[in-house]
Amino acid sequence: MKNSSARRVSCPECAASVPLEHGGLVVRCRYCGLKSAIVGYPSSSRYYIPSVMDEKIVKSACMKKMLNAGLLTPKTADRAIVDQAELFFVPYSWITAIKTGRLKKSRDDTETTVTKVFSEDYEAFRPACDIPYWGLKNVRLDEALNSMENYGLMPYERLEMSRRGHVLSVQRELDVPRGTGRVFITSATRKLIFYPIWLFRYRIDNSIYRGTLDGVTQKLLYGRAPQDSENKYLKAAALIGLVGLMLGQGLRLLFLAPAIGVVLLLTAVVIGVLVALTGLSLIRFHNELVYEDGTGVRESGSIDQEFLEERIFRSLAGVFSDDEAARLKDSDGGKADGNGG
Amino acid sequence: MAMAGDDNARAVRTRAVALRCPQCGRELSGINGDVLFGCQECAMAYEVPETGRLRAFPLRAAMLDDAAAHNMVWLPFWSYTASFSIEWPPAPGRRDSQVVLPRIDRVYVTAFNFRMRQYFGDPGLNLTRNQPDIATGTGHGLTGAAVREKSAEIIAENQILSTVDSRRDITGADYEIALSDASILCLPFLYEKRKLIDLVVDIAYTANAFVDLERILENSGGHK
Repeated sequence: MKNSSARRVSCPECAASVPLEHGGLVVRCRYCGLKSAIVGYPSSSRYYIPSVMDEKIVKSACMKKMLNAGLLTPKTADRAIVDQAELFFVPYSWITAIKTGRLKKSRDDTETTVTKVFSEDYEAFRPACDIPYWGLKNVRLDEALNSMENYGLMPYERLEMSRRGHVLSVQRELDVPRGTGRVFITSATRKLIFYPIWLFRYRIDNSIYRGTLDGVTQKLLYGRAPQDSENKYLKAAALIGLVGLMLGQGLRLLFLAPAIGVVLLLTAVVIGVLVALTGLSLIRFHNELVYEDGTGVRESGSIDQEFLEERIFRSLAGVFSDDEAARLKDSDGGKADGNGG
Repeated sequence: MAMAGDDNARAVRTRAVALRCPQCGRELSGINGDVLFGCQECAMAYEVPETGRLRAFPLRAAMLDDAAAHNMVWLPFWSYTASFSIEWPPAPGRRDSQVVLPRIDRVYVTAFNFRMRQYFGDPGLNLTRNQPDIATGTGHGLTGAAVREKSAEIIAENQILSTVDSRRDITGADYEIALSDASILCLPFLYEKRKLIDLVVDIAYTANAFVDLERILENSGGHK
């Protein structure tokens, strides 16, 4: 949802202009002191969760997390230099509601239907901005809330948050789903939670890689690392040797015991093709390892860093210069929202 | 019946509604995100609708002997007087036809933001199923009431059906439900070791299930 509504309303007492702060649907007039409730405002009330880590902790912890995730070997970790760790408050749209109603279900043993009354939580928690390769979908609010000693939702304080990190702008909010028939989705509340995510960048042999850490649970959400090519070359050499051996033996056996020789030759050809494909992918893609919370480590071709940077910074508020903002805005048909929504 | 989701879909002019008691003129209590605000002096709760004027409901509080203890949090519930009748079509030989149905005189609906019902049950439903005798009085503020009356009515009806259904299958039954005397009832919860214990029915819930707990505590003057 685009936040295009008026940012001010008139005080019902003195008619003074009352600014609508994002965090507050209950406001106080600065002139007459009247407390008012704002109705009809199409945006959710906003909160943020502070990070439990600071830059120093993130810089020292991120390589350990990468090691634990299996992205780096101790050897490559030794060569890694962490350049930067930045805190971002990423907006998440959070809806809680009650799903209640009556459902007709078929009984397993007979063809009759029974009516069941149910009442359960409806909950949705999704990123309210679009940033690829950060693992934003892997943030679990439940885990975060359970890991905190005190309940951590703080009222949205733009200034305070900006002192600690970058506040990303809201691109879309979830809508409350509608019920159907006898099923009601009721008592819905919508909130925007600005969640702390640490982005760290590190260098290995002049190549830059990145990863993100959950600022509350301290989990690695996403990470990229170079594949250990030494091992890969060794494995490839061993396989080529094996294929060569099988081919040689196959050719020799072809004259002595033709049946075994043919099988051996065919096996050697199949393995040879696999080795060739692996080698091709190694040369073509300059492979990287990617870790994503929930799916684990997988191999991947390297991503277009320039494309990545632009996608990330287009979503930021106040991070890029006016010139850059104008350039991005022009290139994107004015869709970029650089002022924090 | 309207759904809460409709409120979001409807285009409503953005405006400010004065949070002042229409009877005595005092400032109403309540926090950001609430839809009901209370006047302690007049013992009234006011729902701020998306359109139209404030809707008034009586504001009551439980009078419990041990409710004066420390670490107490007062949380709002919708309370209704309920009457219902239910009839099943004749089904000879049906085994559950002799089951005595539960007595439901009052229905309680959780009026604060609460989650994790699937693990701990719903505080309002637990009260409805237990039908406790609660002596009520006045003189308590209101904080954290985030459920509108229309939503509460839908939930209340389903609570009655769910309570009956837990004793006898309601499939094919004809029923009539009448809810009246809607009011807001504040009940004391004991807050200790990250748990909140409903002192009326003695059921404990994890503090993480109470979405606005910190702000309710802040605005009700901390732990009373």
